[in-house]
Amino acid sequence: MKYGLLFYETSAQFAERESESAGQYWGAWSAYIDQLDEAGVMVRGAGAGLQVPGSATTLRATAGELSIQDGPIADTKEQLAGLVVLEVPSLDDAMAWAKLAPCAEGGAVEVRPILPDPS
Amino acid sequence: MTASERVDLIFRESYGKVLAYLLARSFDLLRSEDAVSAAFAAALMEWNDALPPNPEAWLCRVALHRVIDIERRERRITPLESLAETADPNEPEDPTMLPDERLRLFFLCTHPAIAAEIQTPLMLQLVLGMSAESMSELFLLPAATLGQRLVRAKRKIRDAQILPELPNAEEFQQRLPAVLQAIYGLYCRDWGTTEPTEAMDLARSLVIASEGDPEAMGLFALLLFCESRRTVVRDVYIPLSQQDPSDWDQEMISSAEQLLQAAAARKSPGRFQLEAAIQSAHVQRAFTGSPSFAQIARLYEALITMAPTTSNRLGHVAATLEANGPEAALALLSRIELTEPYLPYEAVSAHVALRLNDLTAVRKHAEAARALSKDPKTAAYWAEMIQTIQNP
Repeated sequence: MKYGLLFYETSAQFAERESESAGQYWGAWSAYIDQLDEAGVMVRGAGAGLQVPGSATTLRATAGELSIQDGPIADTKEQLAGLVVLEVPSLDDAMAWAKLAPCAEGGAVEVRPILPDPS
Repeated sequence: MTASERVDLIFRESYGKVLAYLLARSFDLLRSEDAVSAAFAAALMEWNDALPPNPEAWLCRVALHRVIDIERRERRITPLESLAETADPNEPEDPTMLPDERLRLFFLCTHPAIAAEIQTPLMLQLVLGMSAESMSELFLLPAATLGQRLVRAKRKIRDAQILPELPNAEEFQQRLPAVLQAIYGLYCRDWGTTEPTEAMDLARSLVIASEGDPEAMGLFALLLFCESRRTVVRDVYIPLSQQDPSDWDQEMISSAEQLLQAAAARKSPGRFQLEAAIQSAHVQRAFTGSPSFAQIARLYEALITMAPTTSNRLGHVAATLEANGPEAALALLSRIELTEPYLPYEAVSAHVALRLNDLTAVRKHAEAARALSKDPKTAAYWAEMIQTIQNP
């Protein structure tokens, strides 16, 4: 069964990327991703880390009229920071990996089952 | 002029050019800004005795060296680096030859992925080098807030990789009005102080880049009309109605007329075409006595429906004063509400009061106008008017 792990960070966590503790921040993430990879649970090439929410552009069309917004979809406390796809037997396994994510403390991880392959 | 005054003047004229020069060579926006500031700082140190033969080329060279140094130091492996390697830092192309690069800088700031409310401050900063502090009053925002929003916009340009490119035809039309407005603003800023050649160059290249968009032609025609008279008022301020038309630059006037006709043939009227048409009417009137002020007043009425700015409404008042007399002008004037003191309002009010022979009002408005005049020539004009009404 495939699960998406959606990583949410607070603005303080995003800010770490350009702070003095940037080294620690990135180190924690690469250690986590390495761990998933070594355990053989991560679907390679299916995930991505995202730039800061300020770099986002949001598009909406209403009755054919396109509106473009500078910024992420909603101004919430936590913002999407990246995602990975895991191939594990059950939700409990996915949750076990989720709680090890660096952003679990302070931020959040959403675990979402992935639609089965239509074939 | 001291060395720092010279650098100041060149900063005003060249900041945007040097930044556009770096951006066109694919360097990161924030880093390029730092490099341009560093180049100006170096100029302050090194231009003590004399200016280099081509100050802009000097600045471009120093800024380019600087940005390449930083990129190398950080050993960023990006396509940018290879570009930096191929550029010969000793001989940058003459930046004054490349108005298109500055035009792309304007269009970059109008990208729809950048919040509309920060686009104008961003243009002013990137093209004119204005600081958040100096713009804070203009945009009614604390300098710190404005500064943060500017940094955010610049980071977004960098992180989301919004490129300094001219947009496709459809987008071009949508983004053109903001660029026209900015070039007009740039012209107005330089009008009284330095040669507004930068705005003229940009307006000209916009006509070419837009393949003859009627409003782009309208703007260029408008600027040519203004330029044709600029030298006349360089030393003393003379109101338009008292100028001698033979002092005006005939070549510019004829280019402006041609542009305006070409624009009108496209049958898509707009604000800048109307403003240029008003200028054209003033010029024709000065030479031949026709069209009449009544026709000019009607052009203003049309302009106000498109751009109901205080300045256009005051133009309407001034034309009405000549066409229909001071009472009609005063009626229009009384409907204008100001949110802050405004020199043209005081100037027009003083002239209307003069025609009504209301000397108390003349005095009040002339004194307000003198107090608001930043330009000593204009202040002198108002001081003289106050003198005249005191000792008739």
